[in-house]
Amino acid sequence: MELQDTYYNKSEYVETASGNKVSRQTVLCGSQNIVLHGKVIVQSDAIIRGDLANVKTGRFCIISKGSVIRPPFKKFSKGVAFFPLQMGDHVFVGENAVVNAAVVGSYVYIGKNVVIGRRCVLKDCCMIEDNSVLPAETVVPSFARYSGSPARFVTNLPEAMPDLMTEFTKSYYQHFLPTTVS
Amino acid sequence: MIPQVDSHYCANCLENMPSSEARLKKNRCSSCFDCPSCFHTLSTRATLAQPRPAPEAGGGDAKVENKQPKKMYYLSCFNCRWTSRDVGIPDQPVASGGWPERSAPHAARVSQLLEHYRAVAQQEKQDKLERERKKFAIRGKYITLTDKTGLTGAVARSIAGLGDAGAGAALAGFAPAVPKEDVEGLPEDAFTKEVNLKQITSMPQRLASPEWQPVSVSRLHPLAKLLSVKRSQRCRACDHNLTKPEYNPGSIKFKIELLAYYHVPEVKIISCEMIKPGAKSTLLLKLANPTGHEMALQLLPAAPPPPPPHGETEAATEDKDDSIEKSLDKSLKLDKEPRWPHVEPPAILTRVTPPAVTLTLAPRDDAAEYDDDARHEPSHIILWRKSNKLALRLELTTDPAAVEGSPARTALTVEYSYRNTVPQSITASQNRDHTLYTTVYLDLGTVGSAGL
Amino acid sequence: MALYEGIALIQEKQAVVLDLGSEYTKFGFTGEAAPRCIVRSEFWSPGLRGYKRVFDYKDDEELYDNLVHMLHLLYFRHVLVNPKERRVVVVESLLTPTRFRETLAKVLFTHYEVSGVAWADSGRLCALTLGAPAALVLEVGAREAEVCAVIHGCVVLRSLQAAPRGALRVRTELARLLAEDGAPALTDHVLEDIMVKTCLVTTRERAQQWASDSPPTPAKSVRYPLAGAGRGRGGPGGAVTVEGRARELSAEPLFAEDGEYCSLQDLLLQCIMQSPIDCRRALAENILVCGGGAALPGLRSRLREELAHALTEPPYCDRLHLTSLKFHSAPAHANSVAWLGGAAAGGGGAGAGRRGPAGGDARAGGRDAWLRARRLKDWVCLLDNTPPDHPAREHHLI
Repeated sequence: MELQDTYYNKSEYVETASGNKVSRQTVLCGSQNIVLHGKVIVQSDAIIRGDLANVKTGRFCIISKGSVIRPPFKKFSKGVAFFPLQMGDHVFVGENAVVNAAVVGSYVYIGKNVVIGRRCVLKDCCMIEDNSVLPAETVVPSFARYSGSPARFVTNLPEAMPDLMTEFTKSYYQHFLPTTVS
Repeated sequence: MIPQVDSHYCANCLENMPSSEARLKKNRCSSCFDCPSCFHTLSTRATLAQPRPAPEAGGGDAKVENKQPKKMYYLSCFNCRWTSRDVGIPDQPVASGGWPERSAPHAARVSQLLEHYRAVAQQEKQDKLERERKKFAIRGKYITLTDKTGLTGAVARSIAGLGDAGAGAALAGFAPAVPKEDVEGLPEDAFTKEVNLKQITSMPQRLASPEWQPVSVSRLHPLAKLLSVKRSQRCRACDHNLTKPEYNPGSIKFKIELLAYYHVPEVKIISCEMIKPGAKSTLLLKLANPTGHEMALQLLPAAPPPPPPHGETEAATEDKDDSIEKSLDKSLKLDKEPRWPHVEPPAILTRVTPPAVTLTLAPRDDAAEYDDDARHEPSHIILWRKSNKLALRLELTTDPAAVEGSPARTALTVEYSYRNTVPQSITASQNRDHTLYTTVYLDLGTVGSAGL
Repeated sequence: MALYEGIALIQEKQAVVLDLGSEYTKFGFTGEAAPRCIVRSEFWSPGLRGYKRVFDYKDDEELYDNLVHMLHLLYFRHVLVNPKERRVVVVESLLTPTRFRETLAKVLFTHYEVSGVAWADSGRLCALTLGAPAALVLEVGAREAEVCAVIHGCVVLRSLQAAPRGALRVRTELARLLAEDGAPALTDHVLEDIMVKTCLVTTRERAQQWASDSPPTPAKSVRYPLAGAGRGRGGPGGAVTVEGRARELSAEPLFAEDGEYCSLQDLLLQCIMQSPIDCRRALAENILVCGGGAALPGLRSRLREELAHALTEPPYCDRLHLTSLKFHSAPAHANSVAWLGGAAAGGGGAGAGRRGPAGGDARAGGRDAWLRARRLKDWVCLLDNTPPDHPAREHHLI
């Protein structure tokens, strides 16, 4: 099914030269530490904690409403340190998801209400189903589909996953249109 | 498609393991462990420990040798807070590996059994050989009594229930199990003791280690992580490799990747009017050409494909559903039923009136993404065209007998030309263009009420 | 010649042993002491978006699909080998429906293209783990309890007994008893967990007291917390109280006499009674209790008590004169005894096939043979169990 057009209020979103569309109703802490690599959509009420450490995303990422992207920390004997969070291309983060991962690869699908524990590593091409909880320091291998709480491997993803995710995020971007004032 | 095991790797530390080594280690990673309680991956924690003086050494004899604290490691689960200290596994001085291994409780007896049965099999084989030799041996002039009656020594012995006489030597060392008069009953306090649920393991926890199957939580041991495999796939018909992943476990690239996604035209629903029994509605479809060649398409009513013109047409039946989820599962569905395809067509009450035009789709062009203007065509069928995609308007007629609320499905067959780009042998001089057929089932939501 | 064969025997890859139970599936390699995995017989079904049990099927096609998915899971998630390269030992019950066997054969031979499959019945394999000449095997599975007498590797088919007295029966009884105490409806998995963690088989003496007017002091009740049922979301604090009565009595249906000789002790004694008279004593002295249902604590001692008692009553007291009952313990956990037998039989070459006519079908059936005949040998089928010199064969009646 072809995605339906999603319309947004033109006054609400800021579009940058590289094609990022960022809602004005987001909380971007420490915006100098946040790098969006182009054609990224950050929807309203999303929180990106750039004040803790660097946050870098690739191209064609979709950060849905109410999600939280937060660099992970690690406790040492001498206090706490935050680590930068890296996100690959074509990543979809569902609504109200909390991402504390250290690395999110490319072509990753994170469902709604997912909690990704701190310092998880999500390799390329994996999928976390809606309402799953990934405990801290989990490594999700490529082409794996995780589900449940604690999230566990359910099944493999098809080999065409990169293409499917590319297609999905691209068409999402293409259908994310400003309301034409008529 | 036949999936095949390509290489073993650990999903946690992403290290490859040669298959011979994997076999030795029973497909388990040597450095990663799973929590025996909740099956999450265990993490290694470090602590600084003061080396304790040995308890037997007596208080006064404690030498002042290792004063500085040593780094000790233990395993801990971040999900359920289980640690390797809970079950009394001593901390380890090295970060990875070196964890104590347990031997299976019945291993000795089982290997005895195996040896015994191997000996039995050997004996059997020898007997058989001997019998064969006897058969060909030149017989004496005299017919003995046993020959006449067919009562040879071996047969006589077996009739008498003595078994083979020669079998004794190899099998003598084996002692069959000894039955016991009494069986272990319930423990004395079974009816009076409080049951502490936290101390008893659940079924999954027991079965995670089939050799031990511990009943008490205090006997749980860390489970070595099961390896994963990279798999390649082969065609069932011609044995050609369809996908072959790269060796590196972290990589998502493929050495060979022949996916239907790159060859079969894509059909997507843009929108559809409410399906009503006995009424007509419009359906907007998007077609896309994923190949690098021009493609001619024709929509036909759903029917079994016509007999192949050159005897080399393949009919791929494929479900395309209307969500990304479903299309992800596509490959699984194609996995099954190689020899006897049984695709029960869903009850189709809605019919498509296909246009009798051949549509041409431009080849896929990655650069074309950047020009946005969709060309509108002055046609009542084609809505717009954009590089390798086009949108179609189709008319649907629904059977008046369709039950309200039942799933509305329709089917159509797509006939498309396909240019085979895989280099064939030189002798194959026939044209590389094939006409292929695919039946597409479209799920159009549910049938609405006629009154709406 | 013999030398080459020996080398081939060594170099041949370990076969896999499959014991597909209705609740749990045991899967592993021959020659090993325990299965590689014991998993629920269910798989992730994308269509249902949940787990689907292998034995939930309406027709052959659905079963075929289920088995394809299940075996895919077993081969590629758990043992990580190519199915094509290895032979399979299938551990099955003698009473497996033909339809199931045939479908399984179809899946193994055509979908996974395995080179050979050896079909072996579980009773005989259980006896193999003992090495004793005679054994009376009681298998308490999930659905059924089966008793067979195995003498020198042959099953006495005439005395085969089976009744639906398995772990599921205990579970239903537990659910009934819990419901009597006012517990909410529980899922099967929770019930199984309660059964595994709390239930026990009470002694005969206490069971009689329970049945009489003066019940004994019940075993301690257990508060079983329910996962997911948080506070304030209804339910009595998100926990079920498992009364001592439920803990003790849920296994009673296994021993309840109903006049049809279906209790476990009746099955055993009936089997002995129908076996040849000269091996009855040996059978009674070589009892092996196995199967996942036999893992309930106290089951074996209760069975012993029940047997001893039943022998003093009609119909057994005047027909069976058994003085001693002896029990074996197999070198494996109760739920994987049959699997271990399969592993031993497969690992020791055709060791199982040596003894007697019933051993004939234990030899591996090749793929070619199956592709030609499209059917399996079956002990109930006249095609397979008529002796070669039977007159019917001469007249081409078969």
